Amino acid sequence: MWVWKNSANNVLMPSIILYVLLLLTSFGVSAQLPFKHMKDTSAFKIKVDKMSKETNSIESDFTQIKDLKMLSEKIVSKGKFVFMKQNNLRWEYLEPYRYVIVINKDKILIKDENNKIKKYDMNANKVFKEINDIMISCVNGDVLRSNKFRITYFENEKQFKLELTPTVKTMQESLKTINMYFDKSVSSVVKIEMIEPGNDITTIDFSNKKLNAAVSPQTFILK
Amino acid sequence: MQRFRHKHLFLSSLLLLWLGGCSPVRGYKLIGTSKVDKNTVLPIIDSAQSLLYKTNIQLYRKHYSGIILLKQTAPKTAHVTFVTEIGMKMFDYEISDSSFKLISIFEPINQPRITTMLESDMKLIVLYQLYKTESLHFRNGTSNIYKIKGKKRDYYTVGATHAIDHVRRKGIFFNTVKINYLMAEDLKPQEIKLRHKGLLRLKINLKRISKSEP
Repeated sequence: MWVWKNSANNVLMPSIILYVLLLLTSFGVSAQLPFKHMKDTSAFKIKVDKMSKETNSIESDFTQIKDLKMLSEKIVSKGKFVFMKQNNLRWEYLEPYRYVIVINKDKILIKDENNKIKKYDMNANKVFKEINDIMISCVNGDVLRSNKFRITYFENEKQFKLELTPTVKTMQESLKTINMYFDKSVSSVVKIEMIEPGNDITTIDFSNKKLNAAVSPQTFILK
Repeated sequence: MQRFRHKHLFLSSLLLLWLGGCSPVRGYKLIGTSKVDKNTVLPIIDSAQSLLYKTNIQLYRKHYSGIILLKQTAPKTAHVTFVTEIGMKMFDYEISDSSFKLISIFEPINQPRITTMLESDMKLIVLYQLYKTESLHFRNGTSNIYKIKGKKRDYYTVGATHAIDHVRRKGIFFNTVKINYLMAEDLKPQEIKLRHKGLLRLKINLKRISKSEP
């Protein structure tokens, strides 16, 4: 049994209780609340459709964490993300080094630290096309109509979660599941998790989002 | 006939001179034969820290970029793992005393021609064969060269700090592999540049990067 014997400990005790309370509070904030199967998927789909129609552009910061489970190693990258309807994406990595990927309709442009630009034709590159299709469909909500995934719907008090399981064999070889998280207002995607067959996870967290702000078409041109 | 003999002799001498001139151990003295340990030549991967490298691989007209992680995961096991910027794992090799095993590879590059070459180059970069096989030891001042015994003509040049400086593999038909290391203060490579010369057009550039916090 633990007995408080002296006055010094009596002074310390409230601090310890406060510390434990703070710890519990922060745990409550950072830990993910358990997800249950979604009650009303039709209402959710209507909200996603609405989001898709109303979203013309998204600007956001992102933090990407590649969690290599077997190696107990996390590779963290940070940057800025811009989407503009119909088919324009810009991933600008700022950490650990500068690297820009722009998807401009059917062209992929990549600029590295040395300002060298590489151009790829999306239709000539199956892998890029797959990645682009997933990214764009996740952002604009078209993924719900895709026949490339089996979708399971979940929710908790704060978020909706979609679990996308690839049905196409070539995709199954590199992806086990994609988890997409929406806030309860379904204004945009807040987080994407890509889980590989070996259980390595790539998590992309979006923050500081601006919806429907004016975006210059120059954003999707690399010089 | 005499003229032909003279011409033949001249060409042979030139070839011998050229071969002699190209020998990496020219000017070095043979010290003996030994198995190199990790005190004699500092390892690229050790238990103290994992290393991240910004990586560019140029194979013929294909270009791959991303991050290579070098990490020791157990006392006798390490990994060389290549992940693209967008987080896709391209390949993962597990290195142990007894094997250099391909654990996973991105399907589109899973072709024997590519995997064989990648494995061979990654082994050279992390000095895999150097610690496994006996070597001939040559010395010139503070510079040491270790040549793997046997048919392979692999030469590892090490300076006074015991850190690797460069590696040469001399193949047939003028095919050579050159790896140059630029060491940081902690005697870990800051940059690694690998070049194939000859028929195979392959370049690998690694540049050390620091880790970002979440």
